[in-house]
Amino acid sequence: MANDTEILHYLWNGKLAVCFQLDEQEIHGIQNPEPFYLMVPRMSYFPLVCDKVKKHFLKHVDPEKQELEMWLEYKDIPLKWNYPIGVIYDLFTIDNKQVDLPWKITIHFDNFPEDKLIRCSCRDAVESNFMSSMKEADMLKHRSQVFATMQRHQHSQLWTGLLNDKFDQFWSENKKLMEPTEGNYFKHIPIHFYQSGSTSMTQTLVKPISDDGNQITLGELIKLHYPSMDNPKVFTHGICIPKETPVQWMSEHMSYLDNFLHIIVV
Amino acid sequence: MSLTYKEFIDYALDFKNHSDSIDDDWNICEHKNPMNGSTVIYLAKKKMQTFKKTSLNSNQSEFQGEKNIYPVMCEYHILYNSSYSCPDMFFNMWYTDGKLLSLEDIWSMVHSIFKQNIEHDKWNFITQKEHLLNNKPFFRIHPCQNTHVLKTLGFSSENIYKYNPLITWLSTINSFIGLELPESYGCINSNFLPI
Repeated sequence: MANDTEILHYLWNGKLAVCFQLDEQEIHGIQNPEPFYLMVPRMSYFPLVCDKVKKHFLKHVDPEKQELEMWLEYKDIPLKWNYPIGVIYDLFTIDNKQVDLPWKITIHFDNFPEDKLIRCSCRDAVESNFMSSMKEADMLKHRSQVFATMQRHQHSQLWTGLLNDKFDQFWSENKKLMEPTEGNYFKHIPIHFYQSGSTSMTQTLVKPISDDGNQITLGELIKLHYPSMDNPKVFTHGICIPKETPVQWMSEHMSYLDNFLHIIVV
Repeated sequence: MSLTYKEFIDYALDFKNHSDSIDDDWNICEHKNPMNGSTVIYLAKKKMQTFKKTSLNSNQSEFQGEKNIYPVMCEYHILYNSSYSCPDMFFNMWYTDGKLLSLEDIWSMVHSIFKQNIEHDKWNFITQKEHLLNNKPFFRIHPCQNTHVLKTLGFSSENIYKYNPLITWLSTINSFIGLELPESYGCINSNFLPI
């Protein structure tokens, strides 16, 4: 079980300062809208924190386009709302250099890039995406034996904990999902790999222990899956993680709320 | 029942062989893993089809007149899902102007018999999801029931090799996503050799 709650609190409270601006081409009328500043939780998802942003910019776009779905872009790259905010930010880390804060994100309503982004017509889409990730993570960790036996109200505790930024509510249920069932380890480690500067994600089966029974460390994992990279740095939550960290420990303590580790290889 | 990736490949090749013999246009595609250069395969098919538009909430009859019939470009991918150890269906559908169908459009396509069930639980049925390999948006039938479906249909360790489970599984979902599955796929079982 995850018992180092100080780390869990620290990561839960991680926030990024964002400056939202409406795309110049989409400003309707003569008055330029003021930029909108917001502290957003790294662990959350953009559609859950952008209601006020949308309201702020809506009056500055063509009335005919106000019904369209709002989407975000940074440096001409559409931002995937289905990734946690902190992951999206860390993807732009290049050569140890993180994006300057406040993070300047451009707002669009027109020309939704439907070949690149999943649509998010309502909050149900975020909930469905989040809960299916949790379910998949539990399949990997416990052959689905924990999530499947939880009651509907326990599932909704997880979701509303995220939605309302309530650590205790979320972790009262999530701790069950973070308990290794077989000995001290999960069956597999739920993990998504990203390479900085690219927006594509790769997933592969990762075991917490090697065939000879030793804990697999982050360094060994990266060497195995990125054989051609010369001593890469590995980030999650904006932190460069020491190579000797066991992946089982990371999974219990450094997973995002969807129960996946999101690892950015730089 | 769960499927290993190696078993998936064998069943996919068997499926493709039959598809070739009846010109059903399924192809084996390869995807190179950008991390370590390894290659994975999946089944894919592209087909222009005509669909009938009905609303998810209405009780309209099946007879709706010509104006509700429209052509749609469909692309189906059958991938291997290593988390669930099962096949995983991804698909996309576009109007002839290149615009993607909406999720509501996709839900509304489902046959009226199943509509009530789906309306109740649509967010756990088909949603948009990133393709496991190319990360592009695709529609996807939620995979968590796939292993359960195969088990319920009698795929146990004893009779697993008598049938191609990909075909059985497909026959349980193809009607939801407008995918035709000619009857002859059901007749190839006896030819299937154990791995």
